[in-house]
Amino acid sequence: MKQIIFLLFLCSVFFATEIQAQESVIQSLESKPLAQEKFPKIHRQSLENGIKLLALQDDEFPVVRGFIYVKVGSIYEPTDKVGLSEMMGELLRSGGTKATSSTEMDERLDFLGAKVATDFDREAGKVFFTCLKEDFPQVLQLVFQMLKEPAFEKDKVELTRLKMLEALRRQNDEPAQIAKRQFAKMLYGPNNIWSRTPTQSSIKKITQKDLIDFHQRFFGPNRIIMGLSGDFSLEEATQQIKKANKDWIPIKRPLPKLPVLEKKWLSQKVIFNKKTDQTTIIMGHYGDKRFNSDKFALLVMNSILGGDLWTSRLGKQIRSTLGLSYGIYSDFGLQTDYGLFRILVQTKVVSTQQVIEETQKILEEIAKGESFNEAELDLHKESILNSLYSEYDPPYNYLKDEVRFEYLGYPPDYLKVFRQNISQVKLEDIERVAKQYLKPEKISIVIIGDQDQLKNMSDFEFKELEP
Amino acid sequence: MQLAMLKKISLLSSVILIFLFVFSSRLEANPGSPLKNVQEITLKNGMKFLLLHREGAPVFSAYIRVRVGGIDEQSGQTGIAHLLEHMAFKGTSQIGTQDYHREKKLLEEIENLHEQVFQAPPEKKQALHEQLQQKIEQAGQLVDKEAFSRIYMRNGASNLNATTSQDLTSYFVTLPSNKLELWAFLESSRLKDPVFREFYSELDVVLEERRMRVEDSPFGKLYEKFKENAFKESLYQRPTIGYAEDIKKLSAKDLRQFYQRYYVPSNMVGTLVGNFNVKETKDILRRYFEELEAGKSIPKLKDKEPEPKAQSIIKIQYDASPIVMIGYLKPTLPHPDDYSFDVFHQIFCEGRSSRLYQRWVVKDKLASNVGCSSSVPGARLNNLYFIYASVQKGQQAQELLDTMDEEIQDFIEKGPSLRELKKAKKGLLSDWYYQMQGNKNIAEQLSYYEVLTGTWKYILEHPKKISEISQEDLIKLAKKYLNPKRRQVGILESTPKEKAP
Repeated sequence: MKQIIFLLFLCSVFFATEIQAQESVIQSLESKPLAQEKFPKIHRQSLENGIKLLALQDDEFPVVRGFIYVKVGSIYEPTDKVGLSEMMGELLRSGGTKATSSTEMDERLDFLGAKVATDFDREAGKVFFTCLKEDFPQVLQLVFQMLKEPAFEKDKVELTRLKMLEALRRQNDEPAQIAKRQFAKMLYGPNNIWSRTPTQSSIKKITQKDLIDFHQRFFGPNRIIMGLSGDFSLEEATQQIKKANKDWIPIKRPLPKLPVLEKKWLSQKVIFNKKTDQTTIIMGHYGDKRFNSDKFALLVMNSILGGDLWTSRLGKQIRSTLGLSYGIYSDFGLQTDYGLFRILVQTKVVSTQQVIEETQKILEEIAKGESFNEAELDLHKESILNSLYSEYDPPYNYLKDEVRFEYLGYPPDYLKVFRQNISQVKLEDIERVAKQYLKPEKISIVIIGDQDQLKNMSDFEFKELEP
Repeated sequence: MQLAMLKKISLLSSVILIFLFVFSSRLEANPGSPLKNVQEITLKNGMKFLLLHREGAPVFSAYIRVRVGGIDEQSGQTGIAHLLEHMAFKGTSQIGTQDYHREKKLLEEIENLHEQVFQAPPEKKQALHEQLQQKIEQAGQLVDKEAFSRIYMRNGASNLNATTSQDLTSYFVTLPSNKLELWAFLESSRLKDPVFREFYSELDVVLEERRMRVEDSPFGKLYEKFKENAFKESLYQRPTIGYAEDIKKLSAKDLRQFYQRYYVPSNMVGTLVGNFNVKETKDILRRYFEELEAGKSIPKLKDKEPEPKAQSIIKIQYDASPIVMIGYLKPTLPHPDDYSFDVFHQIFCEGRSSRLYQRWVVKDKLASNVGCSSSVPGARLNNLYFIYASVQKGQQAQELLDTMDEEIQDFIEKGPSLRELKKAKKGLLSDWYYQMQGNKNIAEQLSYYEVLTGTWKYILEHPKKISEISQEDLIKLAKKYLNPKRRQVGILESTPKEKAP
């Protein structure tokens, strides 16, 4: 069936004449040239003490946005204090500072209509803010207080602990969330830095002193990249940052050495029990590392496999032709250490086996590396290349991208580098990477679903979710 | 292709923000605002477009909003507006097919067979059904798979999607500037000449979507039950995605009738924002969209919801931690009280210093988060001031209700302070700017208010209305609407765990 559809897709333009006429209309509309390519400019500088500043000035609206990355994350936490980094992120925002109590901080920010939010993930501490131009100096000052001198007020530590325990109780409420967590634990091992998650006991163990120590260990101006976008004076902002930074001592100790991942191709299959109408399935194996030179070919290959619902092979077959799922996506993870290659799909319980088989078939075909052709490659390359233009609007979106790239160690103006590399991907590249990196025979599968209805899936191990 | 409601609810790790599908806060554009350059054009057939040129990257964002949603459906046909939105991606008589003459004939046969299957006596159903499946397969082989979306993707579409809410169906995309005429061609083609091919597999896709968003989502499940109970007569009581039983019964014929009635130029607004030549674009719009037939205008829906007489609570049991939803019936925009609710909301529930967050989360520790919205589930009819909270372990929903009443009582007795009022107005002003950045956001806002209130200028007039609101207005508002007797409540309780044998 798959084969037929694919052939039809290729031949489609050669049929009825009417359609041919329409095709030529479409082609002429598609080939209109882009008149101008004017992109916003980012100003980059390294300030004293090592803080890096990326600035993009844009005075269309009287708004300033900040995107701050700090070299910290849950991968650096002690084994028995998992959740420490996340808790610190929340408390930078809500736990007060030496100069401003938490209550006063909340009141002042709300009174200005300013938003400050933190998001600390495995390998980055992110602090984002948005405010009106007139309040920017004041908000910047408050944000620096949070970064430099958080107070970790005791009652707010307890409140955050309570919230985190409640979030933990809710971690088995949404099936997709459970599947992602369990899949990572299965491939990396449950306590690996790339898969571990807080537990009741680890959350309860974290003390105010742990937070203070962790902050001291990781927070210094040389560990910070700051992006500013909007309507502000660069000179004034630079002066203010320099002033805020003046007495802040750079961190000398290098980042802790991380354990290196060992790939174990165990090919496990587990069904976790949850009474649901749909099963949520993740199939996959290890991905690769971020600076792999095959990255661009891998991205294009993944786009063909399951990058979107309409042009990818998984989307066309599982969703559009068979109507088996609302969404099916694949993602070839390229991370600091080995990422994960995952196919995520949800389907009604009775179609579970069918979806797995259909997905497996498509994956096997792709992995052989022989089924690609120039038209399909072009479609996916063009799709990526053309869509890159929209990264530049609103301008702060472009700045946000570039701050992230800088943080991850990519060269400046990485969007351009990215474009160039994608445009150079050739048919033989995707054929080679498909063969080299996809291993359908070593697929692991996690299913979240109703075990009573999935009893016949005998090659799976049945497990209960941890509470 | 998603439902607007659930998509926009996002929980951030540190600040809990609930964006429901109506943005509740609008304030003024200053005189220098780029919005002063918004241009309007109405085509001969009544279709209106808003255009805004912005300097910057060579891209534009487009919205087409159709004033049709869940509330326009007949009972027994719930979900049809949303299914139609899905089917609008299936192409036209020329896009998405390899041989339309053969395909058309097959599609007609399929429709007839489908009807026959429904009417046939039980003993004949099986044979007819097999025949139907055969025809569906034959038609499937003539499809040029996802050709419509493929053209968009090849040309760099980002955010290519559509949403259906109780009020509206919206189609949107962001493209490089040189693809503007291609956009006009594709959108006008699907509005003029949609072909509902692959109907049955898409029906299954929607049923899967329902399982994901409603059946297997604690929020989605409670929200559906809550709304059914909160509205006694209003069309807002129905779920936009539709009941599974209704969805299964829908046919391509139903879809076509619905499309013909509601997808008429006077019921649609297009909006383009970005880097393009406005004059050329106007010509393009006339060239492509003026061909749409004017159709009949659609009468405005009447609000049927009576004044609530007593509190009503609905409880469900579910395999998840407890959630509470609360709603108070209120008038929709442009009623003066709707503006007051925007201000009240800022004081009561927006930000960490707001009254309800302080009481529930910080002081009494009854909830681990709280979020509110002043226009649930839409804004074409009278709606709800809506409050949502995750209940902290060991706490009871009743405690949340009682303490909220205390907060409201306190608000009525002492009123908001002048500082609170000032803070609320500043919060609304900043939000106005934050939501107005970027082509997509601007297009979303302009088109939303244009299609909902008849003019995008609602956005510009909002600040003056807000600035006039006084402490007394808010006290009156709380007295009038936030009475426990008018309150509608939904509670999700955890399913008791089965005891081990």
